[in-house]
Amino acid sequence: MIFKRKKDEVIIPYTLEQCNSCNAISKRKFKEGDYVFKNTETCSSCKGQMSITKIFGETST
Amino acid sequence: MDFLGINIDKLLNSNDNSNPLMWLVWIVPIVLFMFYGQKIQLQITSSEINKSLEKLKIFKEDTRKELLDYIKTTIKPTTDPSTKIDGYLEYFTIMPVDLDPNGIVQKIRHIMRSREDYTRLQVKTISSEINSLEASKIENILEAVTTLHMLYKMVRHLFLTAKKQNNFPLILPLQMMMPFIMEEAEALKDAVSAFKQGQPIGDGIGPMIVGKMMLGTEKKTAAFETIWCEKEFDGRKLYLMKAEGPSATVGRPGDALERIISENKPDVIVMVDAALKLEGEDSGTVSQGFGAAIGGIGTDRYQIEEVATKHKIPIYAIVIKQSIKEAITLMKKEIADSAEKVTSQIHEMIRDNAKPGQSVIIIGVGNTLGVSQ
Repeated sequence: MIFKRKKDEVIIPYTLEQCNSCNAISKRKFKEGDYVFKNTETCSSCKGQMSITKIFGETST
Repeated sequence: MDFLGINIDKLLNSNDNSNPLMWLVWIVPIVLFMFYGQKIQLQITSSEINKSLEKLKIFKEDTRKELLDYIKTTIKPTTDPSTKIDGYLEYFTIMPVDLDPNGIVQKIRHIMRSREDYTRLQVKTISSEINSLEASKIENILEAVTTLHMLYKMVRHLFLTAKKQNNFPLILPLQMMMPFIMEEAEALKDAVSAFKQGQPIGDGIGPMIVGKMMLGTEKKTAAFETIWCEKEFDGRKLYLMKAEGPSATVGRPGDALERIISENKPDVIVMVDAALKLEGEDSGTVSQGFGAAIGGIGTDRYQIEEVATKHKIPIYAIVIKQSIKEAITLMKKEIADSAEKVTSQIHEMIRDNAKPGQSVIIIGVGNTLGVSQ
C-alpha cells in the first residue's frame, strides 16, 4: 500500500548528566523534578559535581 | 433461460448497443449524480469532518480532566476547582478596533497583559500555597485546554452551519483546513503531558542555549519573569537575556530589552529562537538571518524593532527549525543536539559583527519550562 497508516510513536524522556570536573556523561530516564542545569549527584568516578545538560525525548523502537 | 417470455440473456447482452436496460444502467447514475452529486459529496465530507470533530471533543474533554486531576493532586485546593476552570474556558478576548490602526500595538499589549494578569490571579486563587513554578505550569496547561475548547467550538459551528443550510461550498474550506486544525489539536493535547512534568519543550531551545552561557554569572531582573547578566567574551561585553527558568514562561523580552538598552547601549542584538520548519526540512537544522526572531501576537517584536531602530542597532537572528508539534511538546533529541552548533554560531556572529571593546546583547527567546540558567 502507498499510504500506510502511521503507527503511534512512543516518546521516552531522557535526562543527560555531565560531570563538571571530568566531563563524564551519563544518560538515564527522566525523573519528575529534573530540569536543565540542575546540580544533581556527585560523579561516581571523580566525585565531582554532576549537572543536567539536556532533557530530550527519543522515539522508542 | 426464458421466464414469462423474457429472455434474460438477450436483455443483458452487453454487445447489443440498442439494449434499453444497458442504456438505463449508464443514464440513471449520470442523472443521479447531476442532481444529487453535491448532496452525496456533502454526506461523505460531513462524515469525515464528524469523525475529526468527535476526536477534537475527546481531546478537549481529556485535557480538561488532566488539568483538573493535576490541580487536585499537586496543589490540593480546599474547594472544587472545576467550576472556576469551566468558567475560564469560556473567557474571550476582544481585539481593539483597527479602523484607525495608529497605536493599536499598545492597545493589544494592554489587553493581552490584562488577560495574562487575570489568568495568573485566577490560578493563584485556587490555592494560596501554590508556588510560582506550579502556577506557571497550570497557566500553560489552561492555555492549551482553552485553545482546544475554542477549536472544538469553532469547527462545530462551521460544520453545523453547513449541515443546517445544506450548503456544500460552505463545508469545503473546513474540509481543507481540518488536517491543519487536527495537527495543532494533537500538538496541544501532547503538550499537556510535558507541561505537567515540567519537561523542556522544543520552543525552549533558545533559552537553553543562552541559559548555558549564563551559568556562573550574577543574574539580575530585567523585566517581569525576565533576567539578564553580563559576561566577557573575546574582549567583547555580552549582555545575556532570557525568561526566568525553570518556570513555564516566555518572560517579557520587549520590556527587558528596552530597559537594558536604556542603561547600556549595545552595538549588536542577536536573537536565538525556535522557528517553524517547512515541510521537507529536518528538525534541528539551524539558519541565520536578520530581524527580530520572536513569535507571539507581535507586540514584543514590535517593541524590539522600535527600540532597535531608534538606537540604530542591527538585529541578527539564529533559528532552530522544528514543527508546530515539536515546538510545544517534549524537546526532541535532534533539537537538543543543535545547541552546541548554535553556540558556536553565536560566537562566530559576535566576532564577525562586534569589534573588541563593543557590546552585544544575546536574547534566548521562547518558553523556558524545565530550563534553568
